[in-house]
Amino acid sequence: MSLTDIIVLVVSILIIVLIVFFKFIFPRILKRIHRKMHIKNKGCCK
Amino acid sequence: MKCALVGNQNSGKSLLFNDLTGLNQKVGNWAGVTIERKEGIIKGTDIEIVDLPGIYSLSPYTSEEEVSRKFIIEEKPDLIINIIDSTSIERSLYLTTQLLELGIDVVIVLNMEDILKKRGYKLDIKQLENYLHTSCYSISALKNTGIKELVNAIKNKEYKENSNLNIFNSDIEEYIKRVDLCLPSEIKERRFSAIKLLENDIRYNSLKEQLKKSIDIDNEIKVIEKNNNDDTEELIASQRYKFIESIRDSVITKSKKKSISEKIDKVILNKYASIPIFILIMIIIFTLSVGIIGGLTVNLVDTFFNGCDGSIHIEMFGIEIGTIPSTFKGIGPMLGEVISNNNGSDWAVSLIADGIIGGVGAVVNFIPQLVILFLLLSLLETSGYMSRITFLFDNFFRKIGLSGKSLIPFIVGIGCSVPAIMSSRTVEDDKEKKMTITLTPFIPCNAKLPIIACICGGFFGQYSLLVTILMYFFAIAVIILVGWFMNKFIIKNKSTSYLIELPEYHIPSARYVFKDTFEKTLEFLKRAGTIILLASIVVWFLGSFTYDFHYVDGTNHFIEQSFLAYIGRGLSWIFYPMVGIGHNYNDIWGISVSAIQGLVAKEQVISSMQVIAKVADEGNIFTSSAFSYLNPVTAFAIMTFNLFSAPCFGTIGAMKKELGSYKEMFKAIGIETGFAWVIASLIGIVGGILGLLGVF
Repeated sequence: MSLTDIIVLVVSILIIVLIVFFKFIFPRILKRIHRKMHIKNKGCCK
Repeated sequence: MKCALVGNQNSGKSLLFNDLTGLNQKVGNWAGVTIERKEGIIKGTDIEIVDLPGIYSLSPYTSEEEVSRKFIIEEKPDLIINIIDSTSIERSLYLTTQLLELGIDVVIVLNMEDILKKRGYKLDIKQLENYLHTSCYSISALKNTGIKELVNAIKNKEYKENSNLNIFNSDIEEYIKRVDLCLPSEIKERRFSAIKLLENDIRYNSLKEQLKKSIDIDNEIKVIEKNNNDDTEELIASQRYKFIESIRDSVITKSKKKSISEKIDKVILNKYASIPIFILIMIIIFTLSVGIIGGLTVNLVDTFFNGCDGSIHIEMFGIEIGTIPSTFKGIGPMLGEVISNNNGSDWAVSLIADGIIGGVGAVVNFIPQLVILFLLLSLLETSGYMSRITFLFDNFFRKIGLSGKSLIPFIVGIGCSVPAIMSSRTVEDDKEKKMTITLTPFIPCNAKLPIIACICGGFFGQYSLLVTILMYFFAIAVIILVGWFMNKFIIKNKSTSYLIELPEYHIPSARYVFKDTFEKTLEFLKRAGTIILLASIVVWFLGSFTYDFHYVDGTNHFIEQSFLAYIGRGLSWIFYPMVGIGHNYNDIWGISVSAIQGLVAKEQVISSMQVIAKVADEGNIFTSSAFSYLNPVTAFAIMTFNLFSAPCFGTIGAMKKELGSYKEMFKAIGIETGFAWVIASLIGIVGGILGLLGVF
């Protein structure tokens, strides 16, 4: 396996990891944080 | 400070919300654009504003009306900005009289007064203020006029305080006061609650029980009804209208001039011309987007990604109209060359050129025609024509258990099925709504356009545009067929009557049309750069390696031995009736793999076919041995299945949300996929027999 092959492989895996993270995992984390913040805020209002 | 933006449907709330906050919430010239509350901050202030779905009264009938009512009653904003369509003040003031009963300060914003003037009417704002004991401001949300004055008045609290306007006769007012005195002190909207109790609103039953010791509401209602010889709810409503009529007669001076909208409607809603005009408009939209712009640009963009054979072929309506000499190799082959020159292996070259650039490029080719399609649909939405179409098809749709309002999701669905399914909330009847949600994915959305454009361009030559347009009419025919079937055997719906609101025609605002087009295009590009890219790499990997991890080089190892081929063969039985007649069962795996990919995103069907074709023999979908079994009829069958079967996961998610349960969602998907399979199989069997007879 040449250095070019390794670069192509690493870049491709990086693309997959980044897409999976930002498209599927990160929005879920964000949603959970939002929900927690919402509950917290409502508690304050009461 | 928290403000609520409240008003009737299509009164310009979202437009005003965007003007006030600088945000870009979806606007449209049809009732029910806002289906969930949206929050923002008024520019240059720290005032929070909430845009609520349109309501006609505080007695809600639809789910989005319930959202508005709940917010106003339960979250108690500091100020209500009540936007009123000046052209239909009589209808709008019903809600205003109810809002004024809540005890919250109300500011009245008169939108579209300019249109009223154009019609030859005059509105006396000072007199309206005197009648309602509140502050009124005239604005044009579309032209962004009067907004500054409104913001200053809200910021500096220059508006009048709520003085609990009395609008009923002395008898009713007396009863309202009596109930008010018995209400618990924690109730802030006292006058409103008292009226609701007298109206016998079921939402106030627990309060009624609570008050039983101090006042018998049922008895009070009986006495009122006996004295007035009428139902209290009707009595209150009729006195409200009486008050509104007196306002209307005093504040609006009429003239007998006919409005421009009325003149246009005379032609557009004409008994004989209306349907041909609608068909003509749809044909113009698709001719411009797919026929002209699509034809002119698809090969140009493809050359950018994949290069050309010395010249770029420029087509229009599937016919070549010229060539541009070009030696550009294309991004994919150029990158492949760089990797190859630097000792890169064949798989590395193929991954970049065929997997990534080839897969994404197959979808991005369609961007120019999609931009035009989005632009034209946005014009249709904002001009006011959309509501007319609803009116036009209402009678017909009722016959298959749908409502005229179902047409809005169908037309929005040409853009994307997700907002289309969400807009089905404007359909009041639950059964009609379920049917609308099940049938909406049958409309070919923008993601399905690459499937239609690619297969039509490849197999139907000069007839490609005609077949493309026919696919949309075919979709309508399938909707009618499935709608009739569902109405007859599954849902058994009796159609309900409802009010259709025909808004004024507007010259669409260029700012919003371009913003809307830009956002939709960006969303499409985002999908191409994320989901399509990811799926293309996965398909490339599965198609480029055998089960014992040998690279498919076309000499020692072939694509038929790949992972993808094994997966596809496992599902080939589903697609055999569509393309298999006269062919080997094991050969059609490429089609089954592509169709499964369509669940991720429909564009992926074409993208995946392109990757398979490239890995197989460096060919394209129409020349590759991997798809040699496709002929015009079997390709049409495959296109039919992919267009009408289960939609993408995004749409399935929206369906689950709107239908409310997994059971209903699976039922809807089952109906869609079942019908798609039956129709596509019938087409495929006919095509297969014709193929055996030597026609293809």
